[in-house]
Amino acid sequence: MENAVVINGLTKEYKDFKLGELNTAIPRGFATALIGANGAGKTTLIDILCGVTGRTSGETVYFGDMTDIDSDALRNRIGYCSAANYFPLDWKLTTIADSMEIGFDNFDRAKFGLLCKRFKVGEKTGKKSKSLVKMSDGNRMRTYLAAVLARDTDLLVLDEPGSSLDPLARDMLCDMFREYLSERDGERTILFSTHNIADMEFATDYAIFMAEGRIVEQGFVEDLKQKYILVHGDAEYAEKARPFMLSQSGGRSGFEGIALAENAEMLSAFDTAIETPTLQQLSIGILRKAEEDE
Amino acid sequence: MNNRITLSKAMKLYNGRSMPELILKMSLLSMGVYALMLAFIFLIGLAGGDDSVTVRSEMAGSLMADSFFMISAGLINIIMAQMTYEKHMPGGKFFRTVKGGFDTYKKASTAICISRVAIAAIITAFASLLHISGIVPMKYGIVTTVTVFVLVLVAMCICNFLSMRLSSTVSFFFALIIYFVIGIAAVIILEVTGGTPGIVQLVPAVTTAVLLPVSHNMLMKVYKEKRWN
Repeated sequence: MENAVVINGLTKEYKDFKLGELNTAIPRGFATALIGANGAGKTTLIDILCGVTGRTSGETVYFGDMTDIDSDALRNRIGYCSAANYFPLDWKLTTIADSMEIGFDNFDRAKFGLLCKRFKVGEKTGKKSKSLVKMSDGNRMRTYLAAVLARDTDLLVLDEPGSSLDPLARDMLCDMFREYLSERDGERTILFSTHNIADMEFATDYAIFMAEGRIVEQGFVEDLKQKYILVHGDAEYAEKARPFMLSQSGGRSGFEGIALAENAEMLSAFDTAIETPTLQQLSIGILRKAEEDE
Repeated sequence: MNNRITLSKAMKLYNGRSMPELILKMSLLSMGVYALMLAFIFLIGLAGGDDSVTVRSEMAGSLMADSFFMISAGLINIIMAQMTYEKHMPGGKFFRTVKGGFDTYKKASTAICISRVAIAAIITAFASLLHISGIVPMKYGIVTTVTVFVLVLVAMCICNFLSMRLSSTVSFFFALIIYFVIGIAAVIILEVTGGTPGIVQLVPAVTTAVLLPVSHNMLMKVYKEKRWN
């Protein structure tokens, strides 16, 4: 399997936070979700990968042989969008198109117009075009996404793209992820961060879980669903099952948690129900375990 | 080094307006502020019962028009000094990912610096023309406009040096103080010299001609090292 990005020994040190050392890879041709709680280091990692923030140490290799994020050739291949305020708030759609056209060689003005229509954020040349400051948070994010998706890129890096979108728009975003990946079969890659994976699960192929600046788990979603199990049980067995569980929660009526699939046989002895976890359930289990370990 | 993006295009990328467009708009704003202040005082004079000739001669005998010119030139210059693009500000992250990266940022900043000088020169020419034509006479006339123009450039240099060490927010407050002090200095210079041009205008003019590009380049170098990433 080819990788779009390979991260070797990446670190970033702030006064009160340290990212890494990170060693991982983003598989080419898939949508990878960076999952973690607030402050896990997702945005810092994304900012480093896109040249917004410098690294303290380590190396990143893009598309097999590109390492200089400051080179225009590499910048043109990466479509990046921050979680908020991607553009100055007094900008209108026309201003955005003008600026993107100068800033990137592969920005398609006509496509931007079509995407704005599809996202229902207005006509870019219309007199009624509103400035970003007058838009809702959701419409601002739709506009940012339209601008980024209007570029012909190989890697899309989006920081919390779904957090300010309504359920319908999130669903449309998932469809657009699929379209983006299928347009050049296997050549394009998406990396996006989220702290609420539930609405983006459909669009996620590969997941990287982060906590406290470290990667605590990663893998293809289908593999992770085989590696872990979701366990339900009666409250009376909660304590007996605990040693075999990765993370567990519950009350008087019963318990629920994530465990390694290899413990399924042991756990079934405690009259438990075992299911395949959703990515959301996996996230909670894995991140809770990481929090407990800290 | 990315040579494809011109200064004007870099400014359009960062501001949504090209360099000529920004200079034109801000010059008009600057001249508008000056004209409004003058009109306001003129109308107050007329409302007080004086005729227009008396009001104009009173303005010519005082530093009123001179002061309004200082405020107009300084105000727009200080507003434009706030066109900074820190990472945490809206658009800050976008600008760090565009073609040319820091080189484009440097070009946009240089374009703003040049625009500030051009706008100060335009308002200076405007005020000078009003004085020469006799529409709005100043107490010290062209000497006022030239002195203020030179001192605005001095203020720009000082602010550049301060910005190398201070954050954009702190720099802004210092800039307000600096422009205020420079305004007071202009009044003192004009009153002490009696509006006679000389070494007091010449020395800062020559110094800033050298120091403004030097301080701007130094600021860019420090910004890249300490704040860009």
